[in-house]
Amino acid sequence: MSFSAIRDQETAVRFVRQMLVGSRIPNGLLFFGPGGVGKRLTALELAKAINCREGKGDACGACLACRKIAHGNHPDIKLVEPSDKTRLIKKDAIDEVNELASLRPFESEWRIFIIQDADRMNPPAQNHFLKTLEEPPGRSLFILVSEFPRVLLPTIRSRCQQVRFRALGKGTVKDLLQRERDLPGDIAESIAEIAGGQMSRALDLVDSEKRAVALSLTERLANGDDPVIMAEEFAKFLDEQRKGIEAAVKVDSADNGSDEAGREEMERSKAERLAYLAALVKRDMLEYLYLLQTWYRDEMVFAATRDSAKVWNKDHLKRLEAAQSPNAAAKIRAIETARMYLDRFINEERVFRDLFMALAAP
Amino acid sequence: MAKDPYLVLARKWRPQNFESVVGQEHITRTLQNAIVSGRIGHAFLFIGSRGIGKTTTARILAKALNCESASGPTPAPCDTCDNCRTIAAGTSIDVIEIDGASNNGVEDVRQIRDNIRLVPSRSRYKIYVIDEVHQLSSPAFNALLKTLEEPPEHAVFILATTEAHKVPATIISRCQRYDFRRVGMESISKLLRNILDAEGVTCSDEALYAIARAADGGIRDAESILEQIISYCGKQITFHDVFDVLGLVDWTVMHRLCRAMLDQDIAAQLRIVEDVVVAGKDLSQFVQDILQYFRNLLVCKTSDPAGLLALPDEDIAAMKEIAGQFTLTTLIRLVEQFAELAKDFDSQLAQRIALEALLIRLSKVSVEVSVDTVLEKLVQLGAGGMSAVVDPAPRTPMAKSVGAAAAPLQVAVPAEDEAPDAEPGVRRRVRVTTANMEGAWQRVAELASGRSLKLGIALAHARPVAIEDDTIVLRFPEEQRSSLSQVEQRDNQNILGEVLSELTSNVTRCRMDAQGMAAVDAPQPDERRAPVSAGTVSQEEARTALQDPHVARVVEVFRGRIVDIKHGAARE
Repeated sequence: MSFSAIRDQETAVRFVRQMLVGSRIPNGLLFFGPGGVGKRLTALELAKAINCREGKGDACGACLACRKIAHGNHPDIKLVEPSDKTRLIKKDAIDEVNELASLRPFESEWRIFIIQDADRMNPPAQNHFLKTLEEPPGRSLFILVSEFPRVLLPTIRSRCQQVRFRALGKGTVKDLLQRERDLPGDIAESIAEIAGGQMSRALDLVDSEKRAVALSLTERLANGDDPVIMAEEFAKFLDEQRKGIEAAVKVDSADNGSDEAGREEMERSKAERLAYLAALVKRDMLEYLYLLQTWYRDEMVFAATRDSAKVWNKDHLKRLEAAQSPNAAAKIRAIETARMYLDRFINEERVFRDLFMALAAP
Repeated sequence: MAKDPYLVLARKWRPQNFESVVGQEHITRTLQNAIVSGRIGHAFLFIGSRGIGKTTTARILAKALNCESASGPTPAPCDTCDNCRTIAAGTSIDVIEIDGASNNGVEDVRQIRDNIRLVPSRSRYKIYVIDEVHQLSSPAFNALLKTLEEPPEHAVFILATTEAHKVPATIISRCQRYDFRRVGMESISKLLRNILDAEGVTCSDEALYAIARAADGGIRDAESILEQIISYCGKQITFHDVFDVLGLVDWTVMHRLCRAMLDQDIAAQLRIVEDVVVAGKDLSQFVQDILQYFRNLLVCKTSDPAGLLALPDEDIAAMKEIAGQFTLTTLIRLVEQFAELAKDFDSQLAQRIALEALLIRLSKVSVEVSVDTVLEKLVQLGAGGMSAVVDPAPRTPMAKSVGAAAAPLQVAVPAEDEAPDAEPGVRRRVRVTTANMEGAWQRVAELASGRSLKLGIALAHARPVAIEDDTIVLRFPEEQRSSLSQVEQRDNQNILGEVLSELTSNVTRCRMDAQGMAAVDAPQPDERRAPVSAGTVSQEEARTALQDPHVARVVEVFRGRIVDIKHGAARE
């Protein structure tokens, strides 16, 4: 592995390499852009390249330092991630970073901190970070990785060099999809469009039933199925998924040891995992909404242009051609409203009932 | 930091004396004068947004107070003496820089309080710089109060924060407060140019402008961006590189988008969005850019843009030309719509879909006036104020004067461009006549109810029957005696007088009809037109009204239904 393995991020990679070549390494870097496009990968490669004993301006991937980093056990590379059930990076974690940054690195010249999902730092944590980020006592590099950089305090952002990562090209996603999963061209293309250049999202769409579920929902709505019943079913469907996940976690933690400390530890990690999984379920839910939205987006675009090249769900062109969709735009808004309600923890079933009723309208 | 061969620009170029602090002359001059005249406060509070020189000024002030080159505090620290050097390096033992975020408890403040009594070891002053002071807990602030008000003679506090509203008033009132300004484009460009020259990098003016604009008033932001771009392209910076690194969209794309919007070419608009996505640009940035762009057009349209747009002259000329192709109403609406979209664009499920939906909507729904405007218009119609219901020659939605062919209805949009005084939001004073008094009275009642609800309700029951010079004659129905007495109260009379003079140009008073009470709501003999409220319409008229496309449109827009058909108030 080296920078050449990172696809479609010419600007970011060129910047990082130039930075290395000119040895203008700043204290703070903010890698931002959509999820699943190679930010973290680049951060790791950068860490390797800085510490690599062989290569100049890139990582060799073979020396001890590179291998240690690849295995996640280099003592001078610290990965900070959101933890516990709130999925936040809290003050304690940052205090630890501050303290580490004041120490000399163990075996290399630089201490490198990769802060994954930096936007999950809560405000106290960010404030604690300001001083160290701007003027760290030793040679430290902080790489903040974030999908939502705007959530960060402006005072944090202005202390970093902000490196933009772009969504992967459609072609790249399609290529990778066809290489990794055996898919017919039109489906790969549809998914590449829908995934918006995010590889991890594209893979999830291929591997899960989400898209089929969402498309069948739109079909049933168009056929005049009762939206109220559908909403109930859908809420139940989500509930079952959630229960499945919870049950799996329970089974996992049933075979723990009997000593007290061990059990406490288990309890805590179980709570963490549950919360994490709840976040996953929520994300899935939003993904369903998004998939619904793509359908009505296609209806809207197709009605406005009659151009099949502009459509995303290309594998369902026939249905789109037949669709009567004077109110597609309103439906898109209805889905957005539902998203907003779900974000505010309004009762899911009610939200879905409202949503499906809006979608069932002609 | 000698062991570190490379310092980022922002640290390398951290100003070391008052003169080189950019854009904060009002503060540096004040501080220098204070030092010269020996009137040095013991507590300073520096407030301002990120990266504009708070910490820097605090350090310079510390040097100025403790510099060894002079016998007392000096406005021009030497930068060579021990004190100056240790302060710049952050190692001075008498200048204690505290990170307010990490030391925010009462215990930390107590420690300050205990140590502050000890005299400085090798300088004149013991200086406490508390950065990010808004992070102190409120007990910590309170623990600081006494010390802050009356510290020992040798102590000086400098507090710095980005969030003044989180600092308690009791702290603020004990400090000299200095508000740091955001730095203008001019100053930033000049500073960047200096840095570039010193670093031996060439850069076009356009590129420099783009960087300065992206910095949004922050010096550190500007320096960070510049640093990044120098890293990216070495010794030669072009416009193109800057746009690449910042993920900005070229202005020609905006021009193309405008063209496509004017032409209502949906396919072209979608293609532009596609291009922007394919180029890997950030859509939320793009939406911000669109908003900024239309804002600039609006500025071009309404005023002399020279001082308001930080753009090269030729760009301004181009923008003026484009602005000429939009109507003012359209531009205002576009700015509104994109501002609405930008508001929570980041939390959208799918940014691209939201943007596409808006573009399509803007192209399809021709005139979508904001609700405020519609209401305003309706009220004015009611008051007989506006005569224009429909433009005689309707325009296509965005282009100014293209054929009227397929243009759908314009919901009461008067030609704002030509009649600036009819701007929505500006209340017009109407001349009330017998013809429009019904509508005008409603308006009066409405406004009055904003000031006194009871009065408003009472007035709503009254019916104006005549206008005599500056007096409007009212009549109350029999069962509304209480309303009459309500109106006659002195306070309410005052309110009514105010309201009348605000809304009307000729009426200042009202009086009750001689009969006082009308027996029934009988039609007045002197009215030439059919009575307004209970007016009946002929079958013929009803049919015409129902078929009127404007009516259909109103029903559609408001998703309403038609309950009744009446004659409107006085339209010639």
